[in-house]
Amino acid sequence: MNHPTREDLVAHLYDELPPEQQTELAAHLRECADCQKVATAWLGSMAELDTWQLPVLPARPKSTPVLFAPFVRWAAAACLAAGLGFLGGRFSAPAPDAAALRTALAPELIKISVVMDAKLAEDRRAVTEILQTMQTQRTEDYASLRRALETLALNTEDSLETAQQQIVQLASFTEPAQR
Amino acid sequence: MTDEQAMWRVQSHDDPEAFAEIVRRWEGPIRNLCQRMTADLHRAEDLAQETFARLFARRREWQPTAKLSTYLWRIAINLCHDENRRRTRHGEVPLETGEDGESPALITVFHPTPHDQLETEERAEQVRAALLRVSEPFRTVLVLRHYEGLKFREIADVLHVPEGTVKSRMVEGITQLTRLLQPALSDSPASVPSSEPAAWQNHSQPKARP
Repeated sequence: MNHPTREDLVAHLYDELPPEQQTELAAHLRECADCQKVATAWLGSMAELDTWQLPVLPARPKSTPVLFAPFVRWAAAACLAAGLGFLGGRFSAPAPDAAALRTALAPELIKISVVMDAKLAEDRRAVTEILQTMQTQRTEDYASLRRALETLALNTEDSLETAQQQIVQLASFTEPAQR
Repeated sequence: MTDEQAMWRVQSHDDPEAFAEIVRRWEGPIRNLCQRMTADLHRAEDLAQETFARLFARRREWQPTAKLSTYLWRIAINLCHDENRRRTRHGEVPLETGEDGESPALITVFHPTPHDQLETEERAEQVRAALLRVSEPFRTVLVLRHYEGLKFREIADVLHVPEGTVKSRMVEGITQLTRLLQPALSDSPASVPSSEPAAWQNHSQPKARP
């Protein structure tokens, strides 16, 4: 047998050749010192590669989605803290006295009501003024537009009459007789 | 539920349980790959997380006829390449060549100590350092074949290259590694002594994938 290619040799070392070729190459290696030397050196390197073992890290629980687990934990913790804070505040505060609160707030509410009414009346007046101004402006614009259209109609009528006369003249035109 | 079935559920229903199952199954292998490629556990963890985030973001692009593992390995490998390029650009890790672009220095000869554990750790460190100096295309194939147990055909699918190219890269990778480890190999008890002619027949079998 000829020397195997280096590609075949490496495939042989990793048991990736077809069985017949494996056997043939193994027989060659038993008799060829050159190929045996290369194979032995490579096997030495392969054995050295095996000395670099990575630490086995503990497996994560199956039910925990790995990518999102930290976010879920933080979100749950935040919700829990917020909920506890709300409940603590809600139950530790004294119950308010509704009647006393209403009596205390009545004068202030009346004042606010009066001020709001005045503001509303003022707004209403302002809006009415604006609407009146708009109406006046619209009437003026309408009259102006009407005048412009009447002028245009008169001018057009004049132009049509002139054109009609010119057409009549043109129709009655006779060419002078040639000498 | 197979990986592909789970991924189909993620793709069509955005199913969080199915995605969590994929993450649970593949988190370890992907993190290991990233650690082998970057030699940095913390970055490997970040890259593994990013791999799954990218998988989810690109779930619509996955073809249901394709193997999920191939898709995942490809995403992870691309992220590792990007990370290594970034670190090289920023001078964080001198990859592949030594200072001033000269050939990498050979790994120093290992001197055995009385403590077996320390000895193993030192040898592992030598391998880690040597592997980091193997050029990236060759290291990728070495890691996928030797540590992750992918067949050459599967590696070809992941990298989108012909199978012959994968084998050539494997040859170059293991040749570079052997050259880098040569001084250590000559003293190491783990190496196969050349005086045993049939020792190569008893080589370790490739690891099974998850």
